Amino acid sequence: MPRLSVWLVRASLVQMGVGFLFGSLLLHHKGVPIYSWTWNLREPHIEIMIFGWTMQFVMGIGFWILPRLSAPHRFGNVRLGWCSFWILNAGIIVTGLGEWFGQGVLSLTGRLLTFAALTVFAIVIRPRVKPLGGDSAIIPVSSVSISQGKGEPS
Amino acid sequence: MPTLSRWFIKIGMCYLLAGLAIGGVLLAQPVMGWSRSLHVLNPVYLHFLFIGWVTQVIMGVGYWMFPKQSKDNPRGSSWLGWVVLVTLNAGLVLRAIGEPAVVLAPEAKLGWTLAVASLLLLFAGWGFIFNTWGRIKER
Repeated sequence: MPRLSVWLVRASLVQMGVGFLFGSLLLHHKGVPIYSWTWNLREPHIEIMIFGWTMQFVMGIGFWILPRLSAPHRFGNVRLGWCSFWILNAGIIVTGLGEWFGQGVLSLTGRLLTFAALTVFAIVIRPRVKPLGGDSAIIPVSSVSISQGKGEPS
Repeated sequence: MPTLSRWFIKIGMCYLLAGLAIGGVLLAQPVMGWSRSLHVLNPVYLHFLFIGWVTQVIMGVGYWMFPKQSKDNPRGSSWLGWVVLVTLNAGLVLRAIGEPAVVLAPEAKLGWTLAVASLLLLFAGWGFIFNTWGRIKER
């Protein structure tokens, strides 16, 4: 597993831990009230579980298992990947704080950071969404004939 | 595929079906003129899909496919994995019962079910993280 994937997946697990903690406090508060401020955790809980846990986990696994490019840049632009990692986590924290304190500008800034991070990641990962083995693995349709009845290339 | 992973994924599929069914009921409610109180199922619907399906399938596939921790202990604690499976699902089922009950029948005083469910779900989430952390490493 490449180092960036390790960081993305571990960060997603940390976010999952925090998301579960917030969710647990909210659920407990719904049944047996704890603190009046507990409801403020609802929006950060949603933000963390969607972007911090699931999205970041998928990014980490995708960066690890998608087909690799030719050497020497087998994983693509790793530096941009790291930018995406840091901006994403900053965005989630800023959005969470904005939601917690009810500061719309802060929430919007955080969400824009998250959007920027995901856009950068899409740019990094796009060249790796390809057939295994590179361009040579693409078989021109014109060179494939289908056996009648069997539906298999001859 | 390890038995534990198969349990995670198969139970996850049950939550997918149940979640989609509840989602269908929520969509049908205004069209069919059913009681508006059905909307108490909204959090159950979201958590069945997001925790019961998505997170549970990630747990199952992760337990199966993440890099091995070591030769002696390839997948971390199997015992803890099973405890995570049981607590996660007990917590989800308990909240599915307790959350609507607390709103629709407050006199039944079933708030404790949500408190217990919250602790079960927290233990499950943190247990999975504890068991998985050592397997997220460079080769």
